[in-house]
Amino acid sequence: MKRIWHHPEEPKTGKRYWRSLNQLAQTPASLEARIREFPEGVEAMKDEADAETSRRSFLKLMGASTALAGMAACRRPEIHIRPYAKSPEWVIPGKALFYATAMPRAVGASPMVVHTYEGRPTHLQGNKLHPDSNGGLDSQAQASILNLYDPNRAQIFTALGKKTGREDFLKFLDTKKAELGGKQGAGLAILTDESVTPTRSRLVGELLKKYPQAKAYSHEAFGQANVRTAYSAAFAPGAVPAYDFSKAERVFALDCDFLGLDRIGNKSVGQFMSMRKADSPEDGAKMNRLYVVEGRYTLTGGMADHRLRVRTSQTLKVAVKLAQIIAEKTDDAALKAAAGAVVLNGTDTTLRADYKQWLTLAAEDLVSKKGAAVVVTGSAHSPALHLLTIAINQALGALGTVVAVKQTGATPVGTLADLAKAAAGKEIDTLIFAGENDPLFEAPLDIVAGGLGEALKNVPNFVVHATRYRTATARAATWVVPATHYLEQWSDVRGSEGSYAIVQPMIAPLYAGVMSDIELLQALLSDKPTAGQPPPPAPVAGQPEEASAAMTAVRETFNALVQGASDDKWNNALRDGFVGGTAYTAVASTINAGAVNTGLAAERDVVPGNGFEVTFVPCSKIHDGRYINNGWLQEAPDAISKITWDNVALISVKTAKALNINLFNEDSGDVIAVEVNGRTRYYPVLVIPGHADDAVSLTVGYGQKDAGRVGKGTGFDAYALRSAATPYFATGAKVTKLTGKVDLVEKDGVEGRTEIPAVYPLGVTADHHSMFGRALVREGTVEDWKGNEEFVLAQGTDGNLHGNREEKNKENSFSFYKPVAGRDSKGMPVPHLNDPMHQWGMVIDLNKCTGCTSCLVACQSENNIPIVGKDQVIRGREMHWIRMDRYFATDLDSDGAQNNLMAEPREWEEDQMDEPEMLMQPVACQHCEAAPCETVCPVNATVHTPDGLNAMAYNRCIGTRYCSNNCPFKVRRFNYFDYNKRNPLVKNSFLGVEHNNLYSGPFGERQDTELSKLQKNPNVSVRMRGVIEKCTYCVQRIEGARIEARAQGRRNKRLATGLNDENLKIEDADIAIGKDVIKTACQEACPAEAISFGNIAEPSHDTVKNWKANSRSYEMLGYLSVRARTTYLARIKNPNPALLAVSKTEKEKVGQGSKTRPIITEAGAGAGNGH
Amino acid sequence: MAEAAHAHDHPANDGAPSRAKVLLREPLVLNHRNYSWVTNKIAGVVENPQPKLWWYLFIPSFLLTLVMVGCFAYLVSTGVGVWGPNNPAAWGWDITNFVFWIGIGHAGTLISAILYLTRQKWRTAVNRSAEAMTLFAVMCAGLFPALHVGRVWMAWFLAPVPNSNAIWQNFKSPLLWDVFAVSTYFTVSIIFWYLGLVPDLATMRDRCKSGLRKVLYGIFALGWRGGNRQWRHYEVAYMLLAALSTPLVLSVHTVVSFDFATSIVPGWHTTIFPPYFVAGAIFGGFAMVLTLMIPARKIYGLQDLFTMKHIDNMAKIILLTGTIVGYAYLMELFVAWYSGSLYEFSAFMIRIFDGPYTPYYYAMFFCNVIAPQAFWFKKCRENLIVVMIVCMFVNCGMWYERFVIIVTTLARDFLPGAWDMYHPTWVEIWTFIGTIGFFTMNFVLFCRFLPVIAIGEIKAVLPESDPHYDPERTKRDNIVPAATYDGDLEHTGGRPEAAAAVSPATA
Repeated sequence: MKRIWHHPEEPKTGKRYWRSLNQLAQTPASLEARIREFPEGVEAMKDEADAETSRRSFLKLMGASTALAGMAACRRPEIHIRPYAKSPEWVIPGKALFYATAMPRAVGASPMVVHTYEGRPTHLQGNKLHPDSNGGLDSQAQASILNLYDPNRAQIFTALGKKTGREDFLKFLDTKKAELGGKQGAGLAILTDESVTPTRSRLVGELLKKYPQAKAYSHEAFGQANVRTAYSAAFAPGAVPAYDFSKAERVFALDCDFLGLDRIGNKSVGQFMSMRKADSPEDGAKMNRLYVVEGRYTLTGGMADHRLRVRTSQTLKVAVKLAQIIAEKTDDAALKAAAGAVVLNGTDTTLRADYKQWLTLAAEDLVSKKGAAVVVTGSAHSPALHLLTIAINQALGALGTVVAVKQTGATPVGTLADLAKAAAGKEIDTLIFAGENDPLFEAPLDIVAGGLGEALKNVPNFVVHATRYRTATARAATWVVPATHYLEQWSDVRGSEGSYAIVQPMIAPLYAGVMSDIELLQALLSDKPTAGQPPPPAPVAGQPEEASAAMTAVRETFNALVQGASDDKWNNALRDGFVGGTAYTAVASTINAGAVNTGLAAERDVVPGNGFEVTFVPCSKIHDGRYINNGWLQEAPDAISKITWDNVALISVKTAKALNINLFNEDSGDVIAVEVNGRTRYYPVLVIPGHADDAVSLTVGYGQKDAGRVGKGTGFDAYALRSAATPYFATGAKVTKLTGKVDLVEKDGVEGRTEIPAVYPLGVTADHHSMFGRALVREGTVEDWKGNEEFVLAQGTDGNLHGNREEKNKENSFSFYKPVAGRDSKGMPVPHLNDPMHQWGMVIDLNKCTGCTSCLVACQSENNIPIVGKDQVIRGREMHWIRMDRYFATDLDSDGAQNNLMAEPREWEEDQMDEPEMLMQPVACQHCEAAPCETVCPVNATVHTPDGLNAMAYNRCIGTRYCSNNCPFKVRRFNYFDYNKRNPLVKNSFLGVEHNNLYSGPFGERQDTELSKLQKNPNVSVRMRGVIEKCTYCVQRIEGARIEARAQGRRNKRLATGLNDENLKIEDADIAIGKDVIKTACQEACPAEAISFGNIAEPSHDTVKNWKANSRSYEMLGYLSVRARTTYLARIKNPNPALLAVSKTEKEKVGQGSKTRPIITEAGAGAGNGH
Repeated sequence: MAEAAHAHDHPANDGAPSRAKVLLREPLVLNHRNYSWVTNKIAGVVENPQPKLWWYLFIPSFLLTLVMVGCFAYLVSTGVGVWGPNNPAAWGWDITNFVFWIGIGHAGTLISAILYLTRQKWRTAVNRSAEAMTLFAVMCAGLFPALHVGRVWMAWFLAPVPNSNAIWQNFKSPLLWDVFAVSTYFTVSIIFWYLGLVPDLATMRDRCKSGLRKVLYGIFALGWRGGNRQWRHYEVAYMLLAALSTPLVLSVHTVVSFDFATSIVPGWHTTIFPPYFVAGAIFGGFAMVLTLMIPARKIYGLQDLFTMKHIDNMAKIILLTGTIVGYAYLMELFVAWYSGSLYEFSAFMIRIFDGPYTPYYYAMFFCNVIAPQAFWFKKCRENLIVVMIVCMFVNCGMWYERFVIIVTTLARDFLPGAWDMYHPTWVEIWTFIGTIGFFTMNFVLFCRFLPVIAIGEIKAVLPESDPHYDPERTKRDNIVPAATYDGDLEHTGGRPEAAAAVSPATA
């Protein structure tokens, strides 16, 4: 029913309000106007259609639409793109900005360029401009960006475990400062990690000046302390070595993984590889030769031309023997004296005869290249061994050529042991720790138990400044100060050779109030009270940033360090990421022979053959434990053992057999009890060929209690077996295999575990060690190559094809598919290449690839690749787009490659398993031209692009997985779960059955938080469950470059011709992407520069073209004629002919035909001892 | 042989062999049954209360169907990860089960179409149930490829529907051929089956007194009156559909085998697959028909219609196809060696020597090649327990075969660096068991509601249908003994013999 609303009657009394005289007079005109303006009943409208919008119908509609609003749940959520109304300068959504910075590390800076999108750092790459970088970046540095977005990062201040605030802490500091001022700082101690930060060192120095009684200490579980001690003794305090492997023709690595974990400098891998250039057989003669003596397989051992398997505890003996032989050959009296100074153990001063022969021939080779031969020793070895190395290098003429001695000017500070002593003596009242590491966890147990642990309880004020809450150190603290990540702070750092780099913030701190170490020291130094000051203002977009205190401090250091420092120079330094000419200066390389001999005389050799030997090594994934909460690193398989998410005890095959360990466990390992230094701990075992017998290698850093959501429950603590006297290796250990599970409730000291099973599940990504006679990784010696340029093609099944390289690639192929048949009428190659300008291809040089997995992490960071968790790795569902295949090879295998058909697919040849070679091969999508995956996809979700990429349309993929099955390289990855959305790291319980969160499906915990989204590369789709993904050759970078080239090409042409857009004739060449412009993430990250990517369509256009033309080039599984765009360059070894001759005669002596290679094993040790 | 079988079934008549007897084939329906007996017998299966055993089969199979539905719901809601496949072995039990069920779904149409065209009259007793089995097996089969995909909700991309993206299907992909082949096969099979049902549905309708049954049978009988013209049209349509189905029998499993044969994976990439798969499918299909029909025959007392002669024939087919399959197994090994391809050779070496799934290979070989050899012996073919055991072996063996082909191959292909093991999860196992339940449930429901044997067709093979039929002569020569089995009326629930509304084929 329609109700007409009438105008209220004019009031009869009271005031009368009027708007116009007409109204007051109530003229008809005014009445009419009023009615026209506000007709009666207008609220309800008049006609039928209007009636629909009556109040009643309005309510009806409202009710209905409210009810229907619930239906919105059935729709996909709408996500709005909010463009900038006023854009900050340079910020274009989806376009990266690059800034230089550096990551502070114990061995020196890792200079880097940070990719940032709209202010979010997403990806790190090496800074090629920096004198200590060739542009490569190791996996740990790359993955450190994930720590920035770690949800378990320390975010708030705590005092005795309770939440507090920045103000409270500053108040505490103010009162402390007043107290300390009176006592000249007595009772104040500062403990840091060993990262080389000039500003921090300067501030600590100032602090010590201000408070003369204060003490500074530093600690690093795997630092350079021993090397520094030796060089300081031999040359001058503060001296360090700087290696230039591009000058070394012979390298002898004495238990030194300088190509892997024992980082010497960012450039050493690149420099070493520059000496392994093998463009033609003639280069072979110029190649360097690498001898490696080591106890377990390392990346360096894998690259060795000759490798001697020696227990770590015997390294000193080998070194002395080597020194003696070199002294003899070079007639070097100083070396003779140095070698003689070591007191070798009386019971076994002799090495096995075949060791001696090996060492003699190697030494002869080193001496023959005097001046270009160098011995490098593992930094964890004792200072004495380093002193001996210095003497050897002096005799070899390496000092001053390959090894430069540089002056860092660093002053020594106290060690952790000193700190423990001071704390036990109650000398410390306030201890401030600032560092990335976890000293209390890492410290040898006798330091912790014998003082540090207890003593720290005596320290009333223990301030821990860290990015991680849950370290053992933080748990012992009274105050925990949340630290900035290095990508959020102002700081500075020196490279391993001294070049000064500025650490600049890439993003404002994610959590309000967090402090950098420099800010903390500044607060401590400041004379004024720091509490009550307003926090530094957040930078406003578009406004010049107000210099923060930390930045001012860095600038001060910069001003002091750089001559003629100016704003320009500062800006240049920020832009380039370093300051030129700031490298450490050389020290006169005259050895203090007396100090060397004294140091050596103090060294005691270890008694061999006394039970097992245990070696503690840093982890290739989580280093000393600091990256335990980093999912990328946890899931990046260890290069050699291929273990993820855990650490293992590595042992040799022979030892495993003696211990009755199952060699063929798949996805699990038997558990052993290792008893040494009076303690017993349990570790799962992985049998790795090439390990020394009767020795166990334990990677440290795992088994942390409360390590965060990623690190929780991973691995077993190996620090627990270390003692101060045996920080690197311990002998006399007892090792037994567990036969049943061990209940640990009764036993103390095993963090985070109450039960050890007899067989422990392990997430190993490659269970197979052999190539089974399939010439996948091809290799040969310089000699092989010289005689026969095509030797690479003769290997494997392809060897059965007739003809030369050209012909093999053409008609004589086995394959069903026909290779390029020629050109069609338009001159286009058949099969059609639609883009005649750009055809992308990649070459991986196996001669350079060490297998370090840096490419793998780079790819993960660039391409938004999720982690899947240990449970899924065990099921074989890891998502890495690059897989690092590692194979062990014995002579049998290469014979098998010649006559492969009858080679039985047996993995282990008993006698040879402990002396294999190790081969690495990164395998990503090969971008086959005749891609088997493309033909089988029923929905056309994987297709070829005009420029030769095998593209994957995620939106089109329905997930039949047929493409993966038909991929001969098995590089396609399927999203079995919503790995990006659901947290794979937690366990849920349903009806009392525990299961991984992924299996909870829609009820599972989500992890696609704002925080995790910040890291994602906006140019790469984040894949959902049910689709296949794989390497795209970083298509987002290719497309970016294409857009750039088109815009640039047009612009240039316009400028050159003066024509406007309409008349402009753009030719292909104008908008072609330039030479080597695009770098894939893996290529960029490779420290060895083993990957080349580029345009193969343009003759002599790109490096990749030349690499493809090399006679070492081959296509994996080439006989399939899938015409892979990624090809490989075979590995060339440069063995010592003299040593080869020996092994040949040995072979004949053994008389087992050509299939057996002499086995060099250690005598003495073994049966009856310890097992 | 026919005489011998006859003699065996009715040893009492052995005493007086006659000339005529020697020349005559063994009758397809024993005991001299007449039209009305046939109608009553078969319709009685539907009309009478089901034996207890029916419920014992129906209830668990229904529950298992629910389990299957639950497992698929879990799969779709949570992700393919709840199953066991991984990166090298992206297919596991899913496609194994698919091929297994598709294989089973082979015998039905083979029996109905090819045997029809080749005038094998013994098919009449078997074809209805075999076709039903086919349909149910194809339904089970279809579930796997449809639901094993990562994004089920996008599976319509497989259908050639014009869309705004202008992306068409990839007609090079054997998976797409599969979609077409299986859906065509299913469609044609169901039409063929339904067409054959029409006269019988009319019989059922006519026998119903009232109620919902009459209405439903009436609707589905499509107004069948059994007139001469109707029969003529029916016969033509049936023959045409038989002709249409015949190539499909061969094509469907050939296309399924293309999933493997056209790939480049060593162990899959082999031209022997199409004939080998078809033979294997017939092999497995017949085994499943026997597995279902031997108990059904016993339960419903259909021994006179589904005779030992049928079982004997099918056992011989199993022996033949099993031997073909065995030949294929050996030929695969020979070709692998002869190919000179290391990858091909090692794929088979891994299968038969020390590979991770070697036991499956030997289980397959025993079940499929060794076990059926028992059928060389008549005694074995006549002993129903032996027949059932062999058929069970074949059923398992055919599953193993698909598992060996799929999983062994994928887990160990070109690059050892990528190798990994595949293990099924509980979800996968229960999904498969669930489909067995679904299959069984469908089959027992079929027995419950539809005539398990084609009434109209079986009448056509009775001696009475012969235009030259002479009851006097039959009696005189004592060719077929008089009915000795009198439990029929009791079994039809004392229902008066409603006149066989359906006359036998006029042809």
